[in-house]
This record gives sequence, structure tokens and C-alpha cells, in this order.
Amino acid sequence: VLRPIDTNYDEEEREELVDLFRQTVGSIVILSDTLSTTALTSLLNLPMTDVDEILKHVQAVLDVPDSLDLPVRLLHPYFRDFLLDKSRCSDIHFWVDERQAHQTLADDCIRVMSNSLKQDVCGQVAPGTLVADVESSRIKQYLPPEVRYACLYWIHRLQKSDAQLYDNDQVHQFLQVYLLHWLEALGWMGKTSEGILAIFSLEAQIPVSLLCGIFVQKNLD
Amino acid sequence: VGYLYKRILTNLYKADKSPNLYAFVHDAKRFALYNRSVIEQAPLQLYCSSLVFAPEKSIVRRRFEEYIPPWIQRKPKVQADWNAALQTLEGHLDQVNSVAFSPDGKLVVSGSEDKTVRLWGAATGAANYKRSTATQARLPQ
Repeated sequence: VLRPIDTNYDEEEREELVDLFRQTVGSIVILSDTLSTTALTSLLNLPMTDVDEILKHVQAVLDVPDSLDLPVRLLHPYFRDFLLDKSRCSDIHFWVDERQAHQTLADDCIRVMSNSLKQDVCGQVAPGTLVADVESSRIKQYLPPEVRYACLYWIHRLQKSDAQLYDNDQVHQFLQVYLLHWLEALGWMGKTSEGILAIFSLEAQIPVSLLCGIFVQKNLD
Repeated sequence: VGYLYKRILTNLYKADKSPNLYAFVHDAKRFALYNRSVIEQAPLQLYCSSLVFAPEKSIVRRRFEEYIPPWIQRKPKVQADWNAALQTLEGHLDQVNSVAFSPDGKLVVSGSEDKTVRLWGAATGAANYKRSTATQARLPQ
């Protein structure tokens, strides 16, 4: 499947393609949801032509619809295992470092949210507006698929990356600016409970020694 | 022993690096849990109601106080800190007769004078299921 990349290109082009391959296909296999080519392009911050070219190469294992707005699907779950397992991946160039891929996606999610989320993101003005009274097409227009994906999954990706979280790191900085806008977006999407569960797991991921935990608990409760 | 000592020191050092983040996320959890039903129904209430009624010492309140709309001139007197109540499960229209946890602790079930039985997610408080009953609902003891 991956052989054409080997033979038809010179060394430099090949390097570039393999890099792109890792970024796009490597992301697709760990998404835990499906996204369209358009949404992937925005999420990964890559040129559409590049993503399109890479996806053409792997049509044997991915279901890539003609429309750029329909979700790209993995055809063989085996392909996922193959890419993520160093010992089974016949060419080390194509091996996707799972942790690294989750970390990159988490960074992408935070970037996408930072660029899109704001107070009253759906332009409703009236503070009493009920979710039930806003057309879902309007919510989808203001919160496109890549933003919805980022809101729902950024903490999952962070967890799988095993990243250490510290004071004033990008997660802390993001929350200090965007916490309310993130919760607002989840509200419009009807995903508040998912958000709360995500906060639970984020809290569990922050390293705190027993002593320090008791100290903080006492100060807060 | 030297190895163990080193590990303990490393762990203490790690904890030293994130007390503010931990405190922020913990406060965010309390804030989101307490306001779950408001966020679900009318997300913009986050700025003009959730913030206004959050405890004075809440880190989230302090951080986002500037978002409280200027037309709210007199703010209500609120408690200093979060109290023991994590959240209120809202939905029943009359007195609640009985409440029980599922054996795995993941669900809460409640029966009420309003002739319904309701299921709730124990972690998030989300209403999962509602069933009307012929009479006032009470769980078997």
C-alpha cells in the first residue's frame, strides 16, 4: 500500500511525503471520531492540497469520499495496529509514535479552540437564550466540525499523550482565558456532561503529592 | 534507600510545579458541576448568573469577574467558599420520597410524589431517564 511513496519520488520529496503521511494518516488512526478532509485540514493546519494528495495515496486502506465535507474512514482496523506497532511496521519511516501523535493533536485542538472560542460564540446576544430555541444548523455554522472535535476531545488527547502538566503551561494558560467559552460551546453542543467528565480526568492527570493534595483540598473545601 | 529517597524527592518536586493548575482545575470542576443544568439549558447564563452566584473565593469567579455584565450593578451576597453540596439534581416537580445508588455507584435513582422515577448519572448529575408511574413513586426498601 505504501510502496508507491517509495519509488515514484526523489529523496527530498519522499521525506516530505512521509512527514505529511505521519501528520495526516497518523492523526486519522487515533482520532476516536471521524472528520472530513476539510475539518482535518483546519485541525492539523495543513494546506488542503497536501492533505488531499496524501489521502489519495492511501485509498486502499481509507475510505476517502469524493466530497471534502464527508468523513474520512478507516477501512481496516488492522492498518491502525500496523502503523502504531513499531515491530509490525515494516518500514520504520511509516511508524507513528502514538504518544507523540496524541500530543500533536492535543496542541492542534488547543490552537483551534483558541482561534475560535469567544463569549457568545453563536451570536445570540440575549443572555437568556435557550439552547432548545436555537436552530442546530446555526450552532453548527458557528461551531464547525473541527472546533466541535477540539472541544470534545482535547482532554482525551492530552491524557493519551501522557504529558506532564505544570503551572503556567499551555493547558493552564488556555483554561485561564477560555474556560468559560469552552463550557459555553459545550452547552450549545449539548455536551456539558462530557465536558464535566473531561474535567474530572484532567484533574486526575495533574501530579499532586498526597501532602500537597490535602493542603489544596483544605484550602478549597 | 538512596534510590527511594531520590524518587520521593522527584515526586515532591513535581507536586511543587503544579499547585496552581491543580487548584484551578479543581475549582473549575466545582463550578461546572454546580452550574451543569444552567450551562446545558442557557449557556450565556455562565457570564451573568453562574459567575455572579459563585463563591467569593472561587478561582474561576476571580479570574473571569470582568465578564459579569456591567448592568448587574448590585451583586448578591454570596458565600465565601464552595460548600459541601456538589450540585443539585433538578427535575422532580414534587417531594422526593426515596433515593438510591446503583450497585456500581454510577447511577442514582429517585422516586417522587410527582409520579415519576428518574435516573441520574452519579458523576455529572445528568438526567438519564424518566418514567411515569401510576402512583406516587417510592422505591422498595
